[in-house]
Amino acid sequence: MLTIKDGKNTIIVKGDSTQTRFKGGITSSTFGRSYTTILFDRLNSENRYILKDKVTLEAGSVVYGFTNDMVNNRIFEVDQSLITFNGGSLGFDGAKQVLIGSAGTDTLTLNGGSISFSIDPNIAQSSLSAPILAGNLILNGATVFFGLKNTKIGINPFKNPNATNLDGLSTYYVDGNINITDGGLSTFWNDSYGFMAKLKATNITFSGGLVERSNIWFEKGSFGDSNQISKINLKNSSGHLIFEDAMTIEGGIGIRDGEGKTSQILFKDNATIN
Amino acid sequence: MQLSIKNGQEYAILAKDGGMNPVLEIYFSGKENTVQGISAQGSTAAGSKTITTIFNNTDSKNIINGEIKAHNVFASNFTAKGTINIIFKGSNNTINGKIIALGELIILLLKEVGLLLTILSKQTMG
Repeated sequence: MLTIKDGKNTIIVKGDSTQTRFKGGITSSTFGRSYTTILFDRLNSENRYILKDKVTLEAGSVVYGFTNDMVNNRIFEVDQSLITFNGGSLGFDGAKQVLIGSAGTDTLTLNGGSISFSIDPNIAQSSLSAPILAGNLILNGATVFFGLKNTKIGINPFKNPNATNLDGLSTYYVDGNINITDGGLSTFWNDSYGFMAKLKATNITFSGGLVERSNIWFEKGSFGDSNQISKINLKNSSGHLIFEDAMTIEGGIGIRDGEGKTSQILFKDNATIN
Repeated sequence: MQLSIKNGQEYAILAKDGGMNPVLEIYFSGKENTVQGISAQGSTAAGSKTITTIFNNTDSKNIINGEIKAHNVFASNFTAKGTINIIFKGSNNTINGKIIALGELIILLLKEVGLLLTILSKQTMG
């Protein structure tokens, strides 16, 4: 059993991924004061590291990554049945791809807290055939962050909404659905550089509000065939939303909370807001 | 003009309750845009609210139905402002509803020629 307490911890796991490493599982419940990085240094024949350990997250931060020796295609395979997510932060750092379930078709549900995918652009592909995440996410009061590791360039269209270079970003794919209920989504946003890439998922649905730190550049087709979402309710937000498709927002756009903060939305194509 | 109420929100773009002084900016780059009402309502409990909508496309047709309402609220020592800025860069724009300026409401038409703003309902000015 690994019980995570305060402070920063780094654990390097030697050996392959065929067995449980932390008998009794990993528990993080120290109210945000712990930051633990678990690094792996050996993959299986499919270039995967299969997470075999039970993880219980109540608070704090647990990030899975790889040692610097891992230079080949790096894929995490996550068994959602092993993860209990009631808060805290779970991260995957430096991967080419994260699979939920061995086939990348399972669903991970988060009740609060956040999950982050920091993708290595040197090995990740901007291709539907090689999605950076395969599987579905259900976010209940939770936030998912997608980031690009070691990237320091981006575009902030709100500084010039008519700029001609807005289409120059790479698009990374999620082969699955993202369902957000009173949660947040941040896609490759950096406060200093703006958007570093776009995201396209099979389908994204909203209900309730989008919480703080929702910064999303929706590539065309992110909402299935409908191009319709129910409501954008920005709570405590300084977020940035960009829609490539013609959109219908059936429940309107509202802001509340967010003292002194500015939220910005750009509709690149036709918009109907009811 | 009857307001359309969906999902409990009577205006399509609304800043009303919650924390103090948030700002919402919406940029429209498409050619056809429809908005069913805009409201920014100050509150002595929740402070000032600001909404800015910018219809960027000079070749666009834009319609605002329903009310446009900017509403200040006065307390003994401060004013909680409701501010709406609407900027049209094209020439084909229709406001099809009541305009209620009890706060700060600015509608800017930036097209130099062929200027057209059609307002199809009565206005209430504070």
